[in-house]
Amino acid sequence: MSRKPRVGVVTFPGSNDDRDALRAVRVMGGEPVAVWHRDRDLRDVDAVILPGGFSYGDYLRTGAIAQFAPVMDSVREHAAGGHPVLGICNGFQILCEGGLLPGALIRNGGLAFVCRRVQVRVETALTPITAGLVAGDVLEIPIKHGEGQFVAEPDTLARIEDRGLVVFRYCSPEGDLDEDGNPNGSVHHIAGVRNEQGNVVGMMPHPEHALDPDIGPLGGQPIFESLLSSLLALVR
Amino acid sequence: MTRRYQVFVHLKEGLADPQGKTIQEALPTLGYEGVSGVRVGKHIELTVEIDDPAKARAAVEEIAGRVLSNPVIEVFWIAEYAGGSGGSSSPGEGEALSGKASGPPGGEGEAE
Repeated sequence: MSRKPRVGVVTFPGSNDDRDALRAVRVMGGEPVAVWHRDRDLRDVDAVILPGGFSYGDYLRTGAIAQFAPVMDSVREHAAGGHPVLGICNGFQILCEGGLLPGALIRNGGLAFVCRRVQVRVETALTPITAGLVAGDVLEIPIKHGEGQFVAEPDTLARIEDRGLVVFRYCSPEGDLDEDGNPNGSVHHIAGVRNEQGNVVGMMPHPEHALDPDIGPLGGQPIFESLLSSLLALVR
Repeated sequence: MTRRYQVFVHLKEGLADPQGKTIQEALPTLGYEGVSGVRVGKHIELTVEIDDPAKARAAVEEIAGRVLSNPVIEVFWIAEYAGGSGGSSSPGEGEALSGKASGPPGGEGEAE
């Protein structure tokens, strides 16, 4: 009998989705583990989530200060060991700032903070959080960010596309890439990317806010199911 | 010795600058014609207590490249206040560096 997968959620000063992420792990059948930004010991977690929020007030750049937090050394080791790391929103920004993911996130194209439900199209099943999905699946998940416009230099963008590193793209409910479905002007409609190994993933939408049947939407459920199933396969 | 540096950071040419674009689009409505580009960046001042000018400069370059800017999207310029205090110089007098502080100073700047 395997144990429950242990998923750590890092709280930085200014994180505000950490409790929802911990709850999501618990509700979906995992064992949530709270990790403080000054911790160096990840306490044997099987995966790490960097949650949304405004770490260090978003001063300088989003995620710019958080990438130097003591816990990030341990997160880098965890990632280098091939273990899953998921950055959501501010967590995605931190992973890009820290060089664990390609590209960067800048102010939304329209400058406005955007808070609404969006559809994203799954582009690859080759990550722990999409392993139970199929490329082309459309998920409904909320976003809430002011700096979610994904950008990358032409060479980097070409590599991201050639190597299949795009995990999610903003799309219409039918899965089409129309401009109405791109809420922040992200290049190539990119809503989430992975690293070459596939174990590090960042995404702007919030799956932890999208798994309660009483509220909806439910696009976060298959993401957490995939993550926990992937971890079970590893810890068994 | 106290040295004061200005670090200017802005988005690389070619990358979308939503703030600059918004300002540029607002100018004609205020009657200002003929402005063909607006780029928004940051200006950061560092006060450094390092006597050796080369070491001071190297420290500022490293900080600018590693912390104050993100080499993926931004370039930075450094200018030192004349005489270590007072006076000022424009970014045009500073050196253009493209991202990585470990790179050779005076390398090809992405901007201007």
